[in-house]
Amino acid sequence: MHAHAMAATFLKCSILAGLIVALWGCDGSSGSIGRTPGDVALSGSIAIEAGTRVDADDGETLALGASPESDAQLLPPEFVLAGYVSPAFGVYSGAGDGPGNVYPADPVDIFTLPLHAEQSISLQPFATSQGPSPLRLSLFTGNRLIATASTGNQSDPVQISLPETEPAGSYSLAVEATGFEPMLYILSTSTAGNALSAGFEWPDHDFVDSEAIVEFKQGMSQMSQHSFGPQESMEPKRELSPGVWLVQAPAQALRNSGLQTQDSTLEWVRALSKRADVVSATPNYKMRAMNTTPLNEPLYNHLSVGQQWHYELVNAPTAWQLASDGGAGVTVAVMDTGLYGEPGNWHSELDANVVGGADFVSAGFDNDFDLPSGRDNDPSDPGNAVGTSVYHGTHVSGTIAAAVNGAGGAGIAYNASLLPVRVLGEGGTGSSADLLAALRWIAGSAGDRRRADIVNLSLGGLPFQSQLNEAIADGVSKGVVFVAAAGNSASTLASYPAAYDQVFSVSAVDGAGELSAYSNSGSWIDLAAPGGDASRDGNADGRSDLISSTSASLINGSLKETYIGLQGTSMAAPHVSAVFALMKSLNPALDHGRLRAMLMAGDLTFQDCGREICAKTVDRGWGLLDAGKSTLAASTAVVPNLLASSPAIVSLSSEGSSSASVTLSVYGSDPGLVTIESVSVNAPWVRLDSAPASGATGTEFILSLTLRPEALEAGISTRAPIVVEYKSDRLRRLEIPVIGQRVTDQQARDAGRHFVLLVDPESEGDFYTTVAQTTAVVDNGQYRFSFAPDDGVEPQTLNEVPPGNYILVAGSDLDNDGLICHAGEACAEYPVTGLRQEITISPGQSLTGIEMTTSYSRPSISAATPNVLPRPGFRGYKLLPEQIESGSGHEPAHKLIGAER
Amino acid sequence: MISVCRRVFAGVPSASLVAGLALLAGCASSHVTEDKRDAPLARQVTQSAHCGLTGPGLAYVQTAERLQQMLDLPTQNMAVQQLRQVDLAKEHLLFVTLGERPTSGYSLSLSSAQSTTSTLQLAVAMRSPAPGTMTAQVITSPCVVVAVPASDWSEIRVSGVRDKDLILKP
Repeated sequence: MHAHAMAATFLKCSILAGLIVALWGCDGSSGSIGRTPGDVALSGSIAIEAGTRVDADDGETLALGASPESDAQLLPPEFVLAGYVSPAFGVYSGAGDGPGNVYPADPVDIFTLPLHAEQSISLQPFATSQGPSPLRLSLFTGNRLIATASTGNQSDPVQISLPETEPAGSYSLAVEATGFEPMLYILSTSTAGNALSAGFEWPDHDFVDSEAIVEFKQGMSQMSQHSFGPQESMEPKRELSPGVWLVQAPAQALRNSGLQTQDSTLEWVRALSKRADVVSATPNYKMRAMNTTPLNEPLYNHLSVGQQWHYELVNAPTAWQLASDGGAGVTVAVMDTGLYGEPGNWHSELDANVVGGADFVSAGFDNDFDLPSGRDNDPSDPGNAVGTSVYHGTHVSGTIAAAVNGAGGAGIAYNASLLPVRVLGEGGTGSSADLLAALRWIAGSAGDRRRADIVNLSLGGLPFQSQLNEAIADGVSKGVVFVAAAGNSASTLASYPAAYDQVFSVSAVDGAGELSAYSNSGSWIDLAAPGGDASRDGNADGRSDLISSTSASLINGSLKETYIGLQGTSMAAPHVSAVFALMKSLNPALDHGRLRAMLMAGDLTFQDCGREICAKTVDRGWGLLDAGKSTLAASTAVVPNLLASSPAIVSLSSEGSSSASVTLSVYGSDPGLVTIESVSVNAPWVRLDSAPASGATGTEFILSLTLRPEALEAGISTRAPIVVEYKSDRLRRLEIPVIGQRVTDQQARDAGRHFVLLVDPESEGDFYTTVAQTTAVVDNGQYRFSFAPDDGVEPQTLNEVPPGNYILVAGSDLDNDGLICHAGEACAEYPVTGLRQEITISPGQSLTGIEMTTSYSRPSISAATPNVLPRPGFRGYKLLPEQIESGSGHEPAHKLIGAER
Repeated sequence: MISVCRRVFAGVPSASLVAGLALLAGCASSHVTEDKRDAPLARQVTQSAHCGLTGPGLAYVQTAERLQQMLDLPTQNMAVQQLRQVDLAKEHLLFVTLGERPTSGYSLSLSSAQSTTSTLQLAVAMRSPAPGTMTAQVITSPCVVVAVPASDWSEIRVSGVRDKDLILKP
């Protein structure tokens, strides 16, 4: 197996294994969840995230009869603590007869903690149901106030730091309620910046009502098309890629739910995700319009389907950083079958970038019967008169310049101007006379300005013709750059127009970068780009290596915009045209001659020529296109040889990864050798296992390092740089920050008394119905809980649970409002917070060894967690009144204080 | 573990491709009996340049499951709804495929049909780009899908795809 494929496969296996472990838990002793008969229906434990502490006199503790703490609560050097303050006693407005309806008075919480020089503490306020109210955070030494900050009525965090003038040592912190209402807060140290970036609220991204992006199981995509129907649960809007659809909820599906539109959309998405034929269903999130690249497009982000393989194969993400305008201002003419749509209303992924266009298809090949036959100004692709069409020109154009718009995918030069020039008619065929006319039109007559900067020719099959050669030479003389598909005959015979000297001829590779089985080769090939290969899965992503791009397909009898996968050198050429567009946006002076010189110097491809003459092969010419190198080479500002490290920051922890490997690679306008002078780290807690020796020269180096936790103070994260001194244009220095932490607070962790609930998976209105409930206080850094089977004997205790399907959740009720898990409170959901899954309790069987983790932070929505859904207006899980305490073995008790023991 | 995982993940598309190919009968020549009937013997349901079937041949579809196998092929881009609208209890589907072609410009269409009580003879017309025609450089897999009466055909012969008839014994 190819190494690249093997690595990808191994990664996938690791992810799979990880998922299985995550889903099924793994008790340290028993090894897995057990199902045994007995008097326990469900039991398990809840771990607590590192550094977690809780206010000793939170609202719920006070309501249980405790008095506000008069002494300061001790805190470790690094922590995240949730707390409660209230200027006065009161009853929550709108409180029913449920538990937790009073808010006790506790005007101020005082903490004592060690601070190091210039350390920062942040305070994040959370309103209770009484609404926002200001908090003040103050730092003291003795009775002397050092710093203070107030939140006002805002929900933004405030931060205070130990001033430079104050020495490290023990200090006091006060959190005061300075308004009229009770408030929750999270107080944290900003270790390595983590505390500031952690999200303590449930994700609440905006999304389009009544729409979802659904990935169907492999082999089911067509089945699902079949099941799209008005009576079904979704209606297709657009196929984004094979098996991935933008779908719309039938009005009926949402009307029946009786919920608000956003909630009902999420309910519908949740229901879709449970279908047997669906891999994942996510809301169609609204994207922010700033600073977006194709990386932000749903099709790119999609884990298993999408554009990532062919864009990453050419290092496009690096190029998008260097050419951040996405090719704006450069015009690419696509001489092809035209575009799906009509002038002013092209395929919605392309419309924004289309500028004009022309139709050169003469009557013999034309099939746009509703228009005047022959040449005109309308480059619409009418499809085929007989049979279906793949809208070849639309597909090619999408790879070049589909817009970044939060829907579907994007082209590599996503802001470039697109000039569709129709030269292929019925069945994707055309004549060289029409092509010749189109080429002349692009170049413009003598004295005219060229109509396009780059011409993409995903067509071929022509013999050498001197008129075409001259037309191309004329275009080149006017600054036009021509790129053409090498052809798919698996032949070395020259195919035109690709084989003309002044055309960049592009062969095709698969997902592993290997020449596609069909691709032409020969001495006339200039470079290679991804063209896909349906018979291969070179990148081991479980799918054929096809190029995904814009198209249109017959869905339920009518044409709809889609993304489809195709293969061919037709798909490879537009990758090159688009990268040339990015380059020309950085340096408009680049013409055919300059681009060819750069190509031959190895500046545009994955080819490390060093000082040698670059090698050329018959398969891939000067090599596989490297968009990152190409845009760097096009930059007019000189970038000297610089070392970059990957990863950019190294984190080592006694609880996480305790060793790491760092790759240093050369990055610059003219990447060449650099010489290592020294590699050093001046910290006893990190050991350099291997590093390049002094005097080593090269373009890539590897370091490996290991944490020595015994040399670290417990609980404190420490930062030190690895210093690499090297010589390129002059002596330079690279500092790679390393963060080390010895985690020893495991036994001291406390997130407050936890309520563990089994709730009905179907919500009723805003809330889920709690069926059974038990409580647990922290014991040696974790919570243990158990539920008993419902014995049918009255009275039924709270922790008795009848057989059925439930969602298992746990959390604290710091503000004593009878709800757990809202922002500012600890929360754990089984198996992973944010990704609730149903758990089945069967008659006569015990489910033991369940593991969860509780924390104040909330999951964020990312490509890695497609199943995390936003929770607009989530108010928490409702507690049952604690009339009868369960027999779980954990009697309600005043909490142990969360200080270090 | 790696090899198992690779089979699980990566095997799917190629497996379905193989399954699709397995549906295609080989070709051989044989004697044909002709008998014209009044009712249309066969009708063209759809044709496409992207059927996803990589070899030339015939595939006979009698069940929805088998149709699904054909539609699950990567790169397939047919008029799916027209195929699904065929009542497989009354008509069966015959996929006549040209196999992979290097460019656009290839197509198959039904030109005539004749039969005896148990033998069906179809003629299809193949179009391919004339030498020197400019074509899109995309891999195609042209086919025509024909609906035929759901009879117990002992033999179906198709001329026009290759030099010799393609023969299928359903």
